[in-house]
Amino acid sequence: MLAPRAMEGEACTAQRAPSRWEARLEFTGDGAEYFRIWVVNLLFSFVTLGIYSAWAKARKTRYFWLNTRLEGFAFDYHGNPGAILRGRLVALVLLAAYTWTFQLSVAAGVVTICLLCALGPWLFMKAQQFKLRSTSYRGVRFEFDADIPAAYKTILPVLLVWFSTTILSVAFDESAPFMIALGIGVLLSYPWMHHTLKRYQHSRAGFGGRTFRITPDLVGFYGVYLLGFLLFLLVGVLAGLMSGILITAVASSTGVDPRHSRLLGSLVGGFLALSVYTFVWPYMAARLQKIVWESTRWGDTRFRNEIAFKPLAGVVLRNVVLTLLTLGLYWPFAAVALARYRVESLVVVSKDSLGTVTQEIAAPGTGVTGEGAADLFGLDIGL
Amino acid sequence: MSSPTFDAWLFNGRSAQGGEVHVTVHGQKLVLRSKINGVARTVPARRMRLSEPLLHAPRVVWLPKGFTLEVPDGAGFTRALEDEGWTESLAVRLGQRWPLSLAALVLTAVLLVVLYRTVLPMAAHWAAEATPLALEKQIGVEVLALLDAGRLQASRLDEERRDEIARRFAEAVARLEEEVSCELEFRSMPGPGDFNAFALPGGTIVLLDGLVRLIRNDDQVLGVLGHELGHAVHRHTLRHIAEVIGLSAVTQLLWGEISGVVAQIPTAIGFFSYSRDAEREADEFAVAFLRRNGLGAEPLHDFFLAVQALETVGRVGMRPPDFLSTHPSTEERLEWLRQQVEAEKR
Repeated sequence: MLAPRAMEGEACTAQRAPSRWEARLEFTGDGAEYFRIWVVNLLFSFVTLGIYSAWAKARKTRYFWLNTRLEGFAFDYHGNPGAILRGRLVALVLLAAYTWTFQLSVAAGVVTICLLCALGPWLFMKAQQFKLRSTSYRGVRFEFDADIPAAYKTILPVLLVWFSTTILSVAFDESAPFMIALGIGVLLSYPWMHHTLKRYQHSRAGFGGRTFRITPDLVGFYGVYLLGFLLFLLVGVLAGLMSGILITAVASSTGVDPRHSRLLGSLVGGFLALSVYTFVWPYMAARLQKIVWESTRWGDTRFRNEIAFKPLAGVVLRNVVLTLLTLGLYWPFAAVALARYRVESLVVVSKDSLGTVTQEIAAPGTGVTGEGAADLFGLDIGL
Repeated sequence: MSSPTFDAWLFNGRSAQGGEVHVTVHGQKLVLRSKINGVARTVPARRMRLSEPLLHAPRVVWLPKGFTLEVPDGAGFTRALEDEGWTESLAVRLGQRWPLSLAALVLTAVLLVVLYRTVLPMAAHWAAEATPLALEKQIGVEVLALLDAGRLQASRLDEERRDEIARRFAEAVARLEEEVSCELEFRSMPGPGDFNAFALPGGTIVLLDGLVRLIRNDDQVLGVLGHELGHAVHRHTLRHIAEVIGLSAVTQLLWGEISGVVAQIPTAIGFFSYSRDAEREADEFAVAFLRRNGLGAEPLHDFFLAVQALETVGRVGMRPPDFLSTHPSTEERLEWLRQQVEAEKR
């Protein structure tokens, strides 16, 4: 029974031997199935006042990984819910400190920012390490090179730029010309910050004893951000016009002065935010993921990402409309639809089947906090 | 040996190579037999963990020493396990049948309401009671400084008018049985928000110009101040702040489970107003306060009548629909005040 199958396999390899081997990632998740998991996760999280949410997060992540297949084998997730909970509590404390301390006193705010800068690189590094070490394929865990000096060297500059306006606004007037220039400078360095973090994430990752390498195009990042910004302006103007027309219609039919209505104001704000999410985010996400993945290498293995703006925007638009119409109940179906498109866009291109990676590698098992921290701060931008 | 056999891959956690095995379920044990050399291993259920059964995903068995077993025919394997009496966790069983899942959904909605209406106010009340008065006053000072730096502006009322209101209020407070420490601040605000008065933590009451201008009757202004004093005495503002913090903490923890937008809704609703009970308490305090000053419930009743009239002409802005707000509607409060006025006449 074994021999014919082995030969079949060899024949296949032989046929394509000089060229290359390609495999598309498959996604087998099911919206209705995930809906039921989501509902139970939600119930248990509420009953435990949020504590179960760490277990829910592990269960959800495992659902998406187990339904992601490459060459017939599924990915697996091993995140320890206890570690996720600790990470979430750390993140909650930091977020609360960041939100509230400046309102209490300037000194406390400055202390908080210094603390964030001092801990940030370490937390980010730990979060990446936790995420990768918790993910496996064919029984082998992914790795992350958690080198502390390298983490600080790469991430601390990003944090300092990020907080520079806040820090300097303590000492200087916010309307001073150089403060405005600094603010613009920070905005202009967004693509650089994103680029730096992505490069850090991908170049420190490893699998089966081999590290990933990445050479993302910084100019490409700037190009995407520039076009994304123009698209943002366009969508903003169009959505603003549309809501203006709607408000006038509402005001003339009900006789309510729209300037006096807080509810109407938040509805318009929500509409603008959703428009940007539906039309600008897909463009940026598609283009940036393509750049990042297509410049990533793992040994001789390359990646081709076929993600594109139009189909992604189609998925997002459908998700937003149906989620609104169902008062949020479509959300789990939306998450599955989005994951399906994103996962199935990725093709692994190699000289040889991944199954031939046989190197013996050490699999150090450690429980780490910090994964939740990156989660809450939204640092985990785009796959 | 009636139990079916499944093809599976056994991985040792160090190499991606893996070995093909046949898996059979025997009671509370799994038997793994290598396809290459036929060597068999028996693993008891207590020495393994299983991934949950999913429609289209493989089932993964986590074995001791970092070994994992991946069974591609997850659904078939699950049936074989069930036949041998293996059980799934409660969370998994709830998610396997639609009626149970929908019941869980309804229960979640009910719990959400209970949490928001009962648990949160109770916890906030407890937190407010546990806060020392000095700290509460400090918070009040900070909040006022924050508001002054933001939308609040200096009052533009005549000084005489302000002094008159402040004097009447101070006299009225002095007539109260218990000793109440409170300060009155005059401010104004651009836009429709100017028709307002509010209590800060620590007992400071802020009265905005718009309210004084639109309500020309000083008895009614005193009624409003009595209402805000009620909020101060019962430490409602502090309780409210504790509620908002508690609500946002829970939503942050739930973040991953709900979409970002949906997660913000409870917090947004929470910002709208005090609870129904808090408003009722403040109204009761205000009526007692007015009676102590020989006035009765009528000025406050007339004030709400005026508010209702202003709402209809759109002068004071659209309120959120009542189902979104725990705030008792103006009609409901008017009805209660009307009863008070009638009781006084009898």
